[in-house]
Amino acid sequence: MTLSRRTFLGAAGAAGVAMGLGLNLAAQAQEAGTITMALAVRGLNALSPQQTGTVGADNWVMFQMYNGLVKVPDGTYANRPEDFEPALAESWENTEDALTWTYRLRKGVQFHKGYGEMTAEDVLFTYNRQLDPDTVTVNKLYFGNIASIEAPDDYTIVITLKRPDPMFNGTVVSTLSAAILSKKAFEEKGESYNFDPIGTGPFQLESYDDAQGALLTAFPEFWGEKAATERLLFTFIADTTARTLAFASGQADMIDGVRSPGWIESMQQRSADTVFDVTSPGSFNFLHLNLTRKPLDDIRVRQAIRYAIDNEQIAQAYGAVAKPMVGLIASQFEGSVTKDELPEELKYNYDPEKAKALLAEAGLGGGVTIPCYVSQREDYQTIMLIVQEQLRAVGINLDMPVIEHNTFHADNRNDKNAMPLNSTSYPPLPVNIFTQQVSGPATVKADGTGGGNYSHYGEVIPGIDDLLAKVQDEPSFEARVAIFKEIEKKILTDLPCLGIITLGYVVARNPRVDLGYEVVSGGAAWALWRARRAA
Amino acid sequence: MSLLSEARPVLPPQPTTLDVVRETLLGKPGTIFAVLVIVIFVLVAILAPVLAPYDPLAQSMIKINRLPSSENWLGTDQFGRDVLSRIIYGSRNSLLFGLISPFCAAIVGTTLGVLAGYFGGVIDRVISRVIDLLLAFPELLLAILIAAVLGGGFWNVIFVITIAFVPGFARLARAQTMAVKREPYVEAAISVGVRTPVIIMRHIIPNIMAPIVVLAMLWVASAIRLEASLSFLGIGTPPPNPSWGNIIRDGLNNIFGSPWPIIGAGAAITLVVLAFNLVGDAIRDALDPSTSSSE
Repeated sequence: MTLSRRTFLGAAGAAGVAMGLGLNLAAQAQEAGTITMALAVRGLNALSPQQTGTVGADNWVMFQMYNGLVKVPDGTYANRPEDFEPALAESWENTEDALTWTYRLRKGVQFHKGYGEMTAEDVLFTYNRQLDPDTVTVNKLYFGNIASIEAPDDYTIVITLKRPDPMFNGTVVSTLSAAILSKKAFEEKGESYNFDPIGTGPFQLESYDDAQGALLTAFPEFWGEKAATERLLFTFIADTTARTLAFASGQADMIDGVRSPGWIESMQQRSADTVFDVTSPGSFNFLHLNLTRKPLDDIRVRQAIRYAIDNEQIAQAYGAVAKPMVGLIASQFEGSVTKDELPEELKYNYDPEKAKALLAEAGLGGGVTIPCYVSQREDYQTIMLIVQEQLRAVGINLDMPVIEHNTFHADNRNDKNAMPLNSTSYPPLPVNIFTQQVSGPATVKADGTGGGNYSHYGEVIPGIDDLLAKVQDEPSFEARVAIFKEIEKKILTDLPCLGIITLGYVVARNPRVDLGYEVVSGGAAWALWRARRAA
Repeated sequence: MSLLSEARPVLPPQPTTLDVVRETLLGKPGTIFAVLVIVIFVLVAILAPVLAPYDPLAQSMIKINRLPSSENWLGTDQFGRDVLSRIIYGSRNSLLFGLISPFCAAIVGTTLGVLAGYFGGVIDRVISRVIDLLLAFPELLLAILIAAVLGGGFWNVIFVITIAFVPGFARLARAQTMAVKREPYVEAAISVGVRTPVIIMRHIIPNIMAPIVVLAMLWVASAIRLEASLSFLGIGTPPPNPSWGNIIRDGLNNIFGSPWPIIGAGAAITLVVLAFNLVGDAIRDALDPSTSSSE
């Protein structure tokens, strides 16, 4: 093996960093049967799918160990009802009114580590924990539409809903919070299930430790095709530079990407054949305009802001991973509107002159200063710094301190921010976007008991909640799509919240690892059971 | 007994602080170089709007992470902003903090120190214990502590650095005051009934100024470093306004995109801090009898 000066320096640097972090990646990464992924965290919170407080890194590990009754196709979302694939349920059907859903379970599915066969009892246990108001679980809201769940026999589950939901498989069944737990193991382990998890997935947890990472091994009795790789190792390197070096030196096969302009280009300069797996749309970046604050209560000021912000330019800064938004639904999803189908006055093509004219009309021709604040997290800060500069060009100055990320969210929830940017990812279920971001019941409250509607839309300007009720009573998927477009137009008319860009979640992958499928869309974690690593 | 009637030998006039400064600054080639560097950076800061080739805040998404070229001498950052212009404008923030903070700290610290040293007793004990308390924390830690509570922003940073530096000045002023207070001319003034504020302003303060000025000079460099550290940690000058510290911070996450912001701002900090340290050392050497080599 020849060692160039550059590789040597890279490897030495990474080794130094790794040693500094107390990691011992090198020895394990050398084995061909192991795929190593470095996540941008310091450790995991829990590996139990219903545990509250879990984040993206936990999802990455849980995704390999658990199954739900149905799944979305590998590497994408299910955009339409017919896109879902069988998992622990072999087949399912729903009534025409989308109120009753029947699932037929696969026979002979085994839980990890000898915890026996998965049956309807485990499914009931899992769903009932979510339905029990006294048990604290994550994403309880998703399950609120379930009226009852029954098991006529060991291999059949019947779920009835309160309101029709043609995408019930997407809203509930395929989510990680509905992954099936082992009743026996859960009752036996209690709290320790968090780090001694038992699932039905292709991998099981071998060992976990903040310093060494989470080591997963292939589960020999997995119900589907066996995992293509013997071991998965998830390690934790929060520091961007250290993580990038670990990747450059080959110690990590995959790493969490960095959402800052030019990062992908600079990675490509270092090694041209790096593969970037990017979810599209990824996270949605919404800019809320607080309708209770001056001068944002004036529609002309909001229109001026809309004309002054150039979504295309912000997307361009990020390159291929970002896409400009039109309304609040990402262009990849059903229900979104395109500029072509909008009337002229709702297109809002970038026009700083028109913005200045609107401000002058509102009596703010001499300029205006709006106090707000932003999170120091890279993606938030980058987008808002560009917005700040674009608004400065038309005479709107954002007096915008940069604050710590958790404080930012806590203060936003107490209605302290006039213009909060909010980055969040959504599956293709537009109802959730609207109910969480702009509906009346989700209006933010100063005492922190409100929701994520930071603009007070619905409360200050009514109308949205009637449209949302209409959509939630509609069983037909096609009819829902039409109402979504109507809602999008209403929001573009009132401008309580602006869609800025969607920003893909990026993972850099060494080309020696083959995922077995292409990542196109989906959440910020994906299955590695078909992934192979060349020696 | 009359103090006034006693004949005293006539002493040659003491060199004023200004004389010492002038002599010291032009004494050694190293110091001349340092003074030159400081003068140049001060001029750059004052003339920033004239010298900077671009608006330091103007972004350009088609010019991200450019390497140095004839168009952008130090390249551009991840927002396509001109790095040289940002460093030039950043010198304003860095130098302002460097000069204003020790000045404020000197005023506050000297006041406290003189009060403690002159009056003694309870006042001295209270002030001294508070100062001891503050001295228990390293300057940077103290500054981070306060900045974390107050948040960034121009006056907050000045306040933070001032507080961090006050104990040093107070200690020095107290010790000097206690020494000067026992001088015959102060005792004389007291005995003829000169009012206390007059004694402090006319007799004490002028006589303890020299070491205070030296300390302030020495701490200009520390203040610049402290501001850079705070901005680097994200609690100093808030973006998008440039300061050398936050240019380095922004550059660190983007180090693989372009290392030039870090190199440029790092070099600027190094040069200025080195220059102020050289000048400060020279002044101290000239004034401090224990290290003086002029005789």
